[in-house]
Amino acid sequence: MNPGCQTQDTTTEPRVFATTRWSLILTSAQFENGGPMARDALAELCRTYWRPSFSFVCRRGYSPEDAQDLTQDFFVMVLQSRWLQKADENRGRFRSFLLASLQNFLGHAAEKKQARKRGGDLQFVSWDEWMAEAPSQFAIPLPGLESLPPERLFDLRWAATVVEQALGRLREECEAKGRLRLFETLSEYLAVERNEISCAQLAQTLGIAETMVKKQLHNLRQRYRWLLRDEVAHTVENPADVDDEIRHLCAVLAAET
Amino acid sequence: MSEKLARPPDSSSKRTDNPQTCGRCGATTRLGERICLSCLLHEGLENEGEPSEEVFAKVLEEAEVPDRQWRLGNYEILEEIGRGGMGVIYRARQRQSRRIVALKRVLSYHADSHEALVRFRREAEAAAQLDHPNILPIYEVGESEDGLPFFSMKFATGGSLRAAAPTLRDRPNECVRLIAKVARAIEYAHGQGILHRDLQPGNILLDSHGEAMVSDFGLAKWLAQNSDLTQSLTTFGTPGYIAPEQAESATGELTPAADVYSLGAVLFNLLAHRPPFVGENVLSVIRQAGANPAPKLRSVAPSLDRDLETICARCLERDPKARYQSAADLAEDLERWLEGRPIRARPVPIPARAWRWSRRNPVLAGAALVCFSLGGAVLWLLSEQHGRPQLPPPEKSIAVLPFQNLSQDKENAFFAEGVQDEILTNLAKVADLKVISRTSVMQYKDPAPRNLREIAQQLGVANLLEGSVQRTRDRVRVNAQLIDARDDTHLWAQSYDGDLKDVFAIQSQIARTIAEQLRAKLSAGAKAAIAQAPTNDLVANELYQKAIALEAQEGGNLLEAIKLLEQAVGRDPQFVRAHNALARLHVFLYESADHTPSRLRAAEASIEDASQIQPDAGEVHLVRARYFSRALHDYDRARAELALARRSLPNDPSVYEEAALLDRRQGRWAEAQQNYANAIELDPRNRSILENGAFTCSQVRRYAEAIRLAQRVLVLDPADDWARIFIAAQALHERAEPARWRTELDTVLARNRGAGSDYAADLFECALAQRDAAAGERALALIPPAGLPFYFGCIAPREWYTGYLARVFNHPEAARTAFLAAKAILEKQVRERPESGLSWSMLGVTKAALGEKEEAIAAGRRACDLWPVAKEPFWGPTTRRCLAAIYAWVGDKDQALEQLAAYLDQPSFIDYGGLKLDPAWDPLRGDPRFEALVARMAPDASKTTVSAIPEAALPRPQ
Repeated sequence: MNPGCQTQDTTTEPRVFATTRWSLILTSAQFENGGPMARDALAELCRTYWRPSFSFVCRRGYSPEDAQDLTQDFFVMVLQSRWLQKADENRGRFRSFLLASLQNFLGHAAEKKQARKRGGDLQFVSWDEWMAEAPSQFAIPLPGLESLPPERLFDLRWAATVVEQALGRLREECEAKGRLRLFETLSEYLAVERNEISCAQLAQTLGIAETMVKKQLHNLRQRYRWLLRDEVAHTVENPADVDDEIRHLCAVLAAET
Repeated sequence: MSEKLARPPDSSSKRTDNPQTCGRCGATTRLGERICLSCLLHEGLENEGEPSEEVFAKVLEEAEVPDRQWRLGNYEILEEIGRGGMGVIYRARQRQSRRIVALKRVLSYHADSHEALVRFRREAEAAAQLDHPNILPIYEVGESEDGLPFFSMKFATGGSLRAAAPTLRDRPNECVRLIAKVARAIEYAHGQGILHRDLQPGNILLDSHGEAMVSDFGLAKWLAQNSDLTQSLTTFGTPGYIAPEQAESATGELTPAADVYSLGAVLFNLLAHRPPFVGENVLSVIRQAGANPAPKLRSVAPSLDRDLETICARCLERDPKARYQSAADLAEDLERWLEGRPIRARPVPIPARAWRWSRRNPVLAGAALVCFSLGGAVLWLLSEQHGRPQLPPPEKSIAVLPFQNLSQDKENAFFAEGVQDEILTNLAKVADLKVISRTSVMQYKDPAPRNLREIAQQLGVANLLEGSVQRTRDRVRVNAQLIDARDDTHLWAQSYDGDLKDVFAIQSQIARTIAEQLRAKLSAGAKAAIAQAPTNDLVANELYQKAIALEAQEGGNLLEAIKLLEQAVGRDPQFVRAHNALARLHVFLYESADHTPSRLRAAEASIEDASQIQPDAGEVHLVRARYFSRALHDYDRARAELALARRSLPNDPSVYEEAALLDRRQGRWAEAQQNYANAIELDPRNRSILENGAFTCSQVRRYAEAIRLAQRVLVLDPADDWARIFIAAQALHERAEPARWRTELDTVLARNRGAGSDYAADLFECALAQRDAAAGERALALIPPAGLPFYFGCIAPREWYTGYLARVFNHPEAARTAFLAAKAILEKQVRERPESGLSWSMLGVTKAALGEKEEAIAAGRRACDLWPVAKEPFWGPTTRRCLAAIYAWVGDKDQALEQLAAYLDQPSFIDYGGLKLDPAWDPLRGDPRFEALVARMAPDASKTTVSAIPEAALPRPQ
């Protein structure tokens, strides 16, 4: 697969996302030292998707403290080593690639721990800050959550993160236009059947016409969909894989519920 | 990508500890009302959405809801939920924590000085320090950009007492309970040096459990300051509740008595459905409150209890010094009233006190029903005939009707019943749902076309589940449909096909789906309990179903049921429900028919088996409670087990029924009635609960309530003899009028000769009250040789009745012969059961009849020592009553009267009719002290009481 071709292809498909972060990262990885841009992009992706990794490590039976250390070490390794060049058949999706790497990493966790003792205590981010800044809004209250295999939990957390990201971006865009209240009031209905929504009630709450409520809901929904797809697109190498990735995550949720 | 985006955002989704299932996609990753992770993800597959931020922003701006009008300090305003003189109340969201709060913004505050503002803040912050379960917590006191103060507080989901008042109508107990709690909260605040100053129904709020929470402590005066009287009136908005001294001088020094006044006014309003003073305008109300004494509660609501009138009057005294001196004193009296103890407030002369208490409805004056005008009574009865048309049923309520058996084999009826039973049992574990119990729904077994709306109304539910089961060799098909019976809409229907062994999974699935459909929250515990199959052995389950059907059947063969259950646990030793049923039956038999050590051991073994398998299951705790209560009479341990059972069996009427029984045995009469009421709510068509509830009410001399419950038995079955006779008997108990009881007895006995022995004791008692020797003889002929419980409450052999009848109608020789025979039997009885107080009592009475004075008194006293009233509030008074009779019969009037007077006030089998007409007390008649006791028990002559309802108002058998 030639990543270069993929980015070029997008010019002929304007509806598909121009560049994905993951494809950029992979492309850069082909070159010695990557590029600062790619490194930043990777760091950003890692910061966004730290929680699935952390959950995975915890579920593998490590204490929360050890899991914190291991997750930190893992990301430091990802960012500092030539990790990307080892990218294998899983590389098409950032998610599967990260998971495979994490599994591999934990397989050598004992050595890593020794190395950690000897070497400097490198930190990917300040853990406290991380935890404080990023409380997951999706508590995923599944009945059998405790007994879920680590890989499933990883995917489940991943799905939650994707949705949180999209909603967060939508919220920020609304806030930037002074329409946070509109977002707060209507965002609960983004995925609700039309006939279940009392537009009259919402119109009254917001003090606008019912037709305007419908229009705004449609607008928010359209934008949300795009943002969600964009979010997913950043994690796949080939933008055409967005649907497949979403379907995969949906299937994960369906399997667990 | 900006750095900002690396932070997982503060999304709009709600966090909740209670997972719900999404009605749209079925995923349990649903969070809160509308947010479903799975659906949100699916959205991405719908279409590609709007790629341009500009286009999106342009449409966004068309909505004229700019955020700048919407924020207050750290809060996002969600909606306005109230507006009053003092300002506006919003539902709002705290920005960081996302917590939903109520936010009060003071609009009319005239902050003309910085100092005033500082003082307001200080007071509001002081109020925010209050930490009490019945005080609404203030989270933050702040100030908006325009300098006006606001404060945020807990969002009370249950609304205000003002809004809830109509639902409290005719529930004086509940009103008193709420105000007692509020008074305790006010007591606490007073202890912290904070007066409320504006207590009124609008700022007593209710949480989701209906518990009261007082809001707006100490803030009223700020809202009224710097304004003249008329302005302050509009600010107060609720002048009917402020103390006169407060209205006269808004700035004057107030004492806790001002809050006591307001509490009294709120209670008055709840009970009488209007505040004490009403007028055309605010000023006239305030003037009246200052100039006139408050009206008597019963001048507005005559049916209410006199003590409630006294309590309200004491709060509403114009002179603050004449009121309760503290909120604690008021709380104390309200609690006393709830417990059926004498209240402390005494506006009436002291000598009247003792008898007044006995006249008072001892437990509660629930009492909108105690006294009626004749017309009112008839109306009331008619309205009761159609079941319970009072409040609309709760939204989240359901009855699971019997499933139709579509299998060829009629034997499979038990299988269909099992499917229904399991779904019902599963749903009953959901605390958020009201689920009608098995006994009540089984009455709708007939699959003929039925009026679902009527059934739902009779059961007090909004929804019904109907279904059918078809079983072939090893396949099963279950159809189920959920109906909102209020408008006959079909909410959900589904057909399940599966292997026979999948039937438990299907049942769990149906229960879960129903809970989701009704948006009931499922706790993790309930979820796990629903998922667990009671047994995987279908044959064992069928044996179990057959056994409980036998148990439920009147006169069903319980030994046969035990055999079936033993086979069931033989097949599946892990079948906890079957072990429980075994234990339940053994305990019942031990208690009622087979009081042998081997039966007790069998009960213990079954409990042990169940406990081994599932030590923490609610059903296991329940059966242990029964064992402690009924077999060992260890009420404290029984109570502890019940408390554990209740946690996981929120919808099990047996938990309440068992608790009521315990309460009754321990003399907790008010609680017993509440527990019966709860049991009836969940099992509205269970005769035995209704009968026990009626009986208990009669015992505490709440005749109206007793009749009302018996009336409900008649609604279930208009031909029910027991209910007809019970209702008629109340006229004797309450008013010493035996004629109607006698007529009803004669009618029933003429129609149904087989019922003779059931009502022999009734006829005997009635005949004696009427001094009708021939009727007495007739009754005697109906008494089986083993005897019957006489009206003393003790089982007496037939010889005893013979002796008593002969004694009353002056045949001393015949009496002596019969009593001697009775004595021999009773002596044997006390040798066998020396721990039974009642046997000793009966022996004492017999010896007294035979003139064996010393021995008679010794036996009577022994009974009282065995079962003192304090330890046995239920049976204790009966042993005292027997002792009084013994003294009367052996000629010791002083002692007899002392015993009688000492326990007349206790709820017991004695009542006005018994005292006035029973020949047992003949030796005392004419003594002015005895006549005074009779007068003390007499009903209020000025009232027509419920037991005097005309015959025609009762439904007749078809």
